[in-house]
Amino acid sequence: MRCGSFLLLAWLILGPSGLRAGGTVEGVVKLDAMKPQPVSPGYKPQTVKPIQRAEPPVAIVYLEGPAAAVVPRKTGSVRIRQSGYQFRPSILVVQTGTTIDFPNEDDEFHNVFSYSKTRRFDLGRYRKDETAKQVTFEKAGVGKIYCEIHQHMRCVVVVVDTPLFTTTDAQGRFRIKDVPPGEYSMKVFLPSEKTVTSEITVREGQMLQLKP
Amino acid sequence: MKISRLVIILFALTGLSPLLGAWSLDALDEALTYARPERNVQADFSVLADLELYVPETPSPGLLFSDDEAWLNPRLAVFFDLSVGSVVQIHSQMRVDRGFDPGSVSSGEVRLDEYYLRVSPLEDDRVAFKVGKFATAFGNWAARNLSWDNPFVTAPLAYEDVLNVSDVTMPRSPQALVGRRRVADRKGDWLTAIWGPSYASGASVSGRIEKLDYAIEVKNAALSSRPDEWNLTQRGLDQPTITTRIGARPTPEWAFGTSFSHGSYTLESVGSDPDQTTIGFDASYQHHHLQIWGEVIYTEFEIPSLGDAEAMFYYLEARYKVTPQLWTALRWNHSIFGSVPDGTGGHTPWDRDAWRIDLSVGWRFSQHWQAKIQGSVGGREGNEVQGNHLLAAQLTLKF
Repeated sequence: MRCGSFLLLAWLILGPSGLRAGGTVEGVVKLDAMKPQPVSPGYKPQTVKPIQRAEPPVAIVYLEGPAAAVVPRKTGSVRIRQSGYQFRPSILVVQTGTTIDFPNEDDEFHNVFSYSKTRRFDLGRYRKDETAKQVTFEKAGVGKIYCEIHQHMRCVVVVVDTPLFTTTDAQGRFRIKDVPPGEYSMKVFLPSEKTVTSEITVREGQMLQLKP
Repeated sequence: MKISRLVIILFALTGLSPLLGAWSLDALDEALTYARPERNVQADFSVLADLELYVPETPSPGLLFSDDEAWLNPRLAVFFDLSVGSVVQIHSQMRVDRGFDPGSVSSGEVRLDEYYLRVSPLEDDRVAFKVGKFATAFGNWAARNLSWDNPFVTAPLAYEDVLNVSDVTMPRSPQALVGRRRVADRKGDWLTAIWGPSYASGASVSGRIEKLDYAIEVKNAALSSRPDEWNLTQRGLDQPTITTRIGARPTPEWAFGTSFSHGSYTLESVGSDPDQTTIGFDASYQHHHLQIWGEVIYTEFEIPSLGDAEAMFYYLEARYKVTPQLWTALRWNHSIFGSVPDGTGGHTPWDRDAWRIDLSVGWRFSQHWQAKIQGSVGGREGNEVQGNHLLAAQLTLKF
């Protein structure tokens, strides 16, 4: 217990002060078009309620480089809800080792699955009031997630091996703070699922503004 | 042969494409979709290519039209979907294959199996009007008849077992009908209780209100009618078949339905227009990795000078996903035939009771590739004049 308290104290003193010396990377990503959702074959009605609109397209920005190793890992548990017959969020970035919950908030079944090499899984069909199924993503890469019942539903999970990542807003704006000085590959995963890479150097205390 | 080559080349190209790095199936799939979200318009081409292997006990059971000991059946289905908002949808399915039923047109043909305009004026599922050529609303199998959705290669017995009833010639005596039990199925002349998904032509009103769904359709051909009869050019709406289904989904796990269909089943050239009347009850259950479907179908063929030939079919089908990619399915099928006068003062069943167990194992390699293998073992009352057993495999490509 004392050891734990010491470590917490040490992090409060050293950690934030160390990160304060880092720079900030911000900018605006020119968002391209999302892939269109597939049209469901019209054999039979499939939903009780109207399908709600998908979220606006966003991009994911992350920095890879040796200097990122000093930043604490951003793992834990995050959620991808199945709500209004859409995945919410429909694009998500997590660090390797993160567990994602998939709660079903609709009145009907969903069947979340992925055949991506990053993580293959099939959660089966479960109700709104059942405990959400979880999946841990250990391998970096892009996981494409679908619903077996509702063909239009899809989601992309970008699993990165760095804690320096963020998601843009709907206008493409992003900011990554507390970036340790060093050289990085900045990767932007666009709504079209293309990845654009550029090399950047972050200096101590610098505010690096990137233009589209 | 040309269709085989076409499908095999398609399989080879798409299978090798990732290795060649030229394009991926995901990219191809996306390239076949056109979307204008600001105008709420979307158009999509999609493809389902099947390469099937059949190793039947001969004469081949069900709707397999070749009696070779082992043969390949390629099939290419191209779908086109156009949606304008939530109101208008146009759907079509064109196939290139060796006939709607495997081997029925050995030289190959191109068909428009399905096309319809669907209008949902309320922009939701409460009511939809459909006109064109489309799968029947009867029962719960038609909605999963395509190779990607069907856990098996073949249909349940009720949808493919060839009966003694003919749409071409009416038996003139009870002995003539009963005598058909002693010969192998004449697939060009005889009918099934329900012919596959029954893509007949007509119009329907369907919808879903809370936990209830309904469908009423008026079509040009009976459930038992063969594929040629589904086209309006072949058969008009002079003797329409009316089909209804009412369904309920009390919980996400359970769905129940009851269906009714009534209409003339003979060709217009026969002269008389006796009816087929069919009643069905269907149920399904799904939870976690298990899905179960079942149907009980009673059908009655009116035969002039003989009365009604009755039959009952039922099947119970279960699919279980063992791993994200591996699944297995088991189906029990049974058919029981009613009696008709035998012409000597007694009664005898008009066809031979049959049973069949289907077992299949499938593997989904990806969103685009799937393979399955099916083994079927069956039996019939009386002397064996028809093959009952089958080994089948199917490789499916979807994009």
